[in-house]
Amino acid sequence: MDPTTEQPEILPAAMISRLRALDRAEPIVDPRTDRAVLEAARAYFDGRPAAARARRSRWAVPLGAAAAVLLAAVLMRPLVFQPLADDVDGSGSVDVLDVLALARMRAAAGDASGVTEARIEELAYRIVALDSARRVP
Amino acid sequence: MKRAARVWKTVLAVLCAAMVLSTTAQPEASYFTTVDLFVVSGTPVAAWQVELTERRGAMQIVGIERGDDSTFRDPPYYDRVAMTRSSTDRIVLASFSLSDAAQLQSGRVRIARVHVRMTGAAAADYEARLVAAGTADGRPIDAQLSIETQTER
Repeated sequence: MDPTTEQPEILPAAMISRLRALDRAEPIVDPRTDRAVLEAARAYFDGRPAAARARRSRWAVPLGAAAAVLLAAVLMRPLVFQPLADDVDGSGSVDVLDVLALARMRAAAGDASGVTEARIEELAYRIVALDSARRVP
Repeated sequence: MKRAARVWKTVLAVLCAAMVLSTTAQPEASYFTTVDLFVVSGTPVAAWQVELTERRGAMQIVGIERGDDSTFRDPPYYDRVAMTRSSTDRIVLASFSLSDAAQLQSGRVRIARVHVRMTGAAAADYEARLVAAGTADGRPIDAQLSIETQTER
């Protein structure tokens, strides 16, 4: 027996029509209520201090941008900020102490160090160069 | 009358010529001096790098010598290209020694002498900056830099 066809045959017609009426979608909120809620919300937000709203919008974008830049810098650092080849002693700057480090490496191990006299001289002359094109970055 | 006018014109021309010659023929005043650079450090100095500037831009460097320690290079490293262009109102000098710490000097050590030709009568206005100084094992030193000048002629 088919259950979908069974009920109409059993239930009275009046009950069926009332049940069908219950199934119909009825508006829970009528347009007037909806409009009233909207107006109340607008009135509430318009009544808030302007400075509070402005502060949030003023700082949200710069802080977000700064956070994004910081994150990008941290992620890209190994790719972009390669340690300088001339910064032999790892001090963060290239100066005569790097030349001395190269000279000591050569003095200790000779040609096996991979450091040539020419390399030492070249770096030494670059650290004293006044011309920006020849200067150590 | 004509003769008098001719004489006046001649006198005027001679005066003008004399005035022009007196203003253009004066040689620019200049003098030679030496600038001695000293590093003051409690620990022996094995490497140093200094920058010397003359703020008026009247300095022309004509020679550079190493200091008192003969184990350092003579002369120190400097920009030879800039020297040949005579544009040396600023110069960077550097040198190092591979001697043991026991052989290196400490205290007030003369590290270099710069021979300078100054133009103009005003006194020179030098600025010297110690860029870096280090020990025999390559450690940086917090040393002081001082200069002394001596006019040669």
